Amino acid sequence: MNRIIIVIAILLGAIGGVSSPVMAQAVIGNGNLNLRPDKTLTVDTAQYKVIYEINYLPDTLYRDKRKNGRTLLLTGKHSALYIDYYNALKDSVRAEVLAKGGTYVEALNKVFAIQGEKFNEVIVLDYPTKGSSLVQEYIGGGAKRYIDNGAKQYWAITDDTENIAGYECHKATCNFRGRDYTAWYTEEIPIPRGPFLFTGLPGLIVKLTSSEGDYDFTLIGFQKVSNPFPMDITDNKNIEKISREDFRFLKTYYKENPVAVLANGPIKVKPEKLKEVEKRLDRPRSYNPIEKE
Amino acid sequence: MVFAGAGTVSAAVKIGGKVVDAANGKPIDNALCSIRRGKGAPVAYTFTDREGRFTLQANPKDSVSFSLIGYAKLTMPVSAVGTNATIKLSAADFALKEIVVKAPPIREHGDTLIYDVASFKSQNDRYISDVLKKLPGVTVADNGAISYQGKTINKFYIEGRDLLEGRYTLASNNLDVNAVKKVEVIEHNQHVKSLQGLEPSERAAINLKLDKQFMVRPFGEIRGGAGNGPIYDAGLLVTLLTRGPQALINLQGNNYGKNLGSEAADKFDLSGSYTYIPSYTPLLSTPSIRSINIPLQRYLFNRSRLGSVNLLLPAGKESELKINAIYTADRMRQRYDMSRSIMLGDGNTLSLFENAMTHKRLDNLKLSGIYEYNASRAYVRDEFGFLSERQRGSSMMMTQSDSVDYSAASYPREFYNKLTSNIRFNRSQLIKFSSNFKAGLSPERLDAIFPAKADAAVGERMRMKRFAMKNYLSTSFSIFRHRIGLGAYVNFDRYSPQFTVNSNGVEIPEEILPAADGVNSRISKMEYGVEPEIAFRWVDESLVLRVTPEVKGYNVSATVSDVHHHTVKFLPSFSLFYRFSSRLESRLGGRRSFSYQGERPFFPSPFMTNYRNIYIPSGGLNHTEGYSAYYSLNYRHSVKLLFANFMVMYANRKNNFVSSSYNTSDWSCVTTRQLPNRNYSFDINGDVSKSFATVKTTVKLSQAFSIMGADVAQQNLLTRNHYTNYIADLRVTNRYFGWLYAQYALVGAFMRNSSPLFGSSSLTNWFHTLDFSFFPVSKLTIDLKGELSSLDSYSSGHDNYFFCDFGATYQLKRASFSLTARNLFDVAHYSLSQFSSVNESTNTLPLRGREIMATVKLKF
Repeated sequence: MNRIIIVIAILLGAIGGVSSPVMAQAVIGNGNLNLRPDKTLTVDTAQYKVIYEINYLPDTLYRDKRKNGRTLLLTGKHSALYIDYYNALKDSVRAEVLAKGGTYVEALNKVFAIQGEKFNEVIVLDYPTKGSSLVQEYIGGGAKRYIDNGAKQYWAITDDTENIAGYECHKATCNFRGRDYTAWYTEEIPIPRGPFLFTGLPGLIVKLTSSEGDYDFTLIGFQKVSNPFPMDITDNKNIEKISREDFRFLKTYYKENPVAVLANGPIKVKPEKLKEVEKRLDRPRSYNPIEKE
Repeated sequence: MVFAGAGTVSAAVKIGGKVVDAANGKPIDNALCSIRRGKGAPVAYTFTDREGRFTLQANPKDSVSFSLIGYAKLTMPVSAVGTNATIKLSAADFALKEIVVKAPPIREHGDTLIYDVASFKSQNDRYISDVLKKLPGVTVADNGAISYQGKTINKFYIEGRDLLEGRYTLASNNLDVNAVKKVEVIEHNQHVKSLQGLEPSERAAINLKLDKQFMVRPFGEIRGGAGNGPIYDAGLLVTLLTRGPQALINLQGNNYGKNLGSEAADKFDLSGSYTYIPSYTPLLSTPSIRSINIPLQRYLFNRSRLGSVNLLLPAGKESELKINAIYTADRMRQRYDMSRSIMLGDGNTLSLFENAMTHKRLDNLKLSGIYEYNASRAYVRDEFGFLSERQRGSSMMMTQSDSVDYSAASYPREFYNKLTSNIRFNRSQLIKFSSNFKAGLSPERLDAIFPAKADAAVGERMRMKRFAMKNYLSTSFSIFRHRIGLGAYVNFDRYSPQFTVNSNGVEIPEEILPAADGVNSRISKMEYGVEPEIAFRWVDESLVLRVTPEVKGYNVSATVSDVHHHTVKFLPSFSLFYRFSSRLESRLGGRRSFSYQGERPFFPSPFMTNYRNIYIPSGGLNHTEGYSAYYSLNYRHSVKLLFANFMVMYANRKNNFVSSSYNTSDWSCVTTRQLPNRNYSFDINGDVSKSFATVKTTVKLSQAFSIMGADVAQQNLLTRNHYTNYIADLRVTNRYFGWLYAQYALVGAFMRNSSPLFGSSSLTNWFHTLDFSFFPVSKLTIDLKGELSSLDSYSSGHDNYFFCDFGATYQLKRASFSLTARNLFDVAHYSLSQFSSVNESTNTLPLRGREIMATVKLKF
């Protein structure tokens, strides 16, 4: 199972501005509900939280149909974790309900009210070694993990400055895996991180836009973690460790052949319904991945 | 692992070492080591590895700094570092500029700007229009019409659906501000999907994005209030606003000076459309409320009611059905004294006086049904409807020479149908067809009785029938990236007035008002034309040149004067659009124009338009021809929250007629004379608005300057009038302190008239408004408003009228209780003499005095 477990101290409270006295242990499971605790692997201790709004174009054929999501970046001493905000929120809420002695049904009701998750990859930057990243996602019926050793940006810093979200920002540009990007980073927050795999600027990235506008990340929240907590990810034997090339192939394959999920996936369809479901699924899916190469 | 540095270094030396925590000596990972040369971005930088090690190439004259969040920044000369330094960073809890999850005030996605309502809202805002007024780039006029960058919007969507069409103030003035999460401004909004990418619009649309909890259930509010006078205010709003079906029901009534009739007015500017047919304006004017230069609500004695039902039902994925109905009834009354001294040009001055008690009733009914199919390949929209705007008024007045009992009424009604359609073949070939018609009837009457003269009276009865139709057909296609089109149109407009004019015992000179009974007439105008259009599009449509060599034919006939006239004109036009960047764009345009003026000159007989004005049809064919040019610039920077627009226009027209008036102590005769008359007008308009996010302040400045010149004839003397107008409007809002909202508005208006014959006069009026809202606790809002109108006075420089209002609102869950006191100082009388339009006039009338009202509002 693709499960990442993380202990979050009042994620909702600290970031959403709603105070809660409960220290909760949350299970981040890409929005899936896990009734049994998974084995976990601690990658670092979270010190700062950054929230980025992501606005992107899922299908280049329909340029007016853009989508919005929200992502969370947790930074530690050595590594950083980048995940979907709503997935994190779901698990935080579930853990909070359970910690207060609530039932799974109560937890389910609260979790189902949260919607908006868009970003299913889980990325740990500078892990297991500095300069490499761990990427994990549930695709085609199972969790897959790979280590990305080539996610490095060669930034060109310009003299342009702008005030964005109240921070004095400098402009930098780079080309990364098939797209040109413009980043605005601030030296007021000396954290060399950003959204997705973007890293290595002399300050936190406040805004990042691809040149054709397909992907746009904007910082909407930044806060110090009041009680540092361990950043844990799921680590069990069911997670299939593959190469980046295989991962990219699988992702494209399942986008283009959604029916194939039925063969390997967790959803079992009754044989008499199979044809109908196949017919419904069998259409090309839009795919405009952030990484083109 | 060390990240690559950026920048170049000359005469470099190698520096290196280890960065450790000063407290425990442990290495620090990810610390930034940056080489600085003056201010700005680092010339080179790297990060420490897990053991805290770093190496860099640097110029000995530069400085190097070491920083990481949680540690104090350390800066030293490069020369002091060496190749194996140990840099100790001390932990420091420096003040972080934290931001909690909060959307930026404005986000930009292509042509769409997304305003976060919470970033502009304050506790005293009740309805969404209160917030729209504060958004930089957006302007809300006094009648509720919304503009973006100086142009009125072309659609008002709620969750992507256009429920209310041009009567969107029903929503914007009544929707709870807390129901709306985001306001989207869609620039260049092309509502018709099949025209997207082919015909961008110059106008923007507003789309309200609601909070999700308001999209799944009906919501609204009910309110009722009463006060001394007695005065009352009541309202009920029920809405269901989903992405699918939508409904809005609104009932309102009040008698505290707020007219509701303007809600029924269409706020969209449709005049640019080929098939737009303006509504008929009654010929006979009903007695009206005199307007003065202070806000209407201070002097209007009224009773207003409104009822509106609006339904939208999606019919399939791309179709929708809409039914809109609105009825408004305004009852107004006013007592006033007015005296005027009119310079006649021959050295004499005419003194006019009116002491009047006027009652006026306005009833508006608008019904419409709309079907729309909006797909990427085809578009069909059909709207049929019924409009009536009934006016009734009476006035008992004393004049300088007589007492008059004057009443008039008009009841124009019209049916209309508007069909708009197009089909898009392959990617670029387009056929468009639209056809509109209006058929209307307007019974009108005017009665004036002069009791001082036994049995003296004037009575007029008129029935105006009108039929107008406009049809337009065009086709267009692309060659390379350029567009070529050909359009053709036929328009028809026919007026059939039926007149009865009776006068009894009134000594009206025979040559001014000959008796004419039951005369029928018919005036027909036909226009037809072909309109080729070539649009050159370069640089990804950042540069678009549109050339339209239009040829138009006119056919005018009138049965009374036996006029039959036919002419063909060549009317070319062009426009040049250039987008400098995503933030700055410009437009340059020009056109030649020609038009025949109105149907009135062909009416069968002179008629009175009120108790003393007599219109004398000249029977002449009046026309205007000329050219006009404009240039406009639009700038927006959504991150800096800065919006600006600027427009300059020049028009030069050659008329073959001059407006002519002749005043006696009893009558004012108005006609047109066939004389050459060259008019000009020159306008400069502009708006600048900027929000300062850190101090939560928004500044909006708009200004309009115009000069005009035209020939007129008065008392048979021909002269040339020049007009200069300048209006500047400055608004500053601040909500820096959580417990206080403050707004200051200053409007300055300057007017100047001059003519060689009458001399010149000028007038300057100032209007200051200062609003404070205090929030001592989160549920209590206290409003204090001061309004100062400083009006130019002929006798004493400037006369000041100061109004002060107080309000307190307490919110208890879904209910709110408020107490308002208007006009605290009980300013109850208005009297002002002004010298304007080279004439002196004095108006005296009562104002609404101090009023206290208690209101209860319940949201559901």
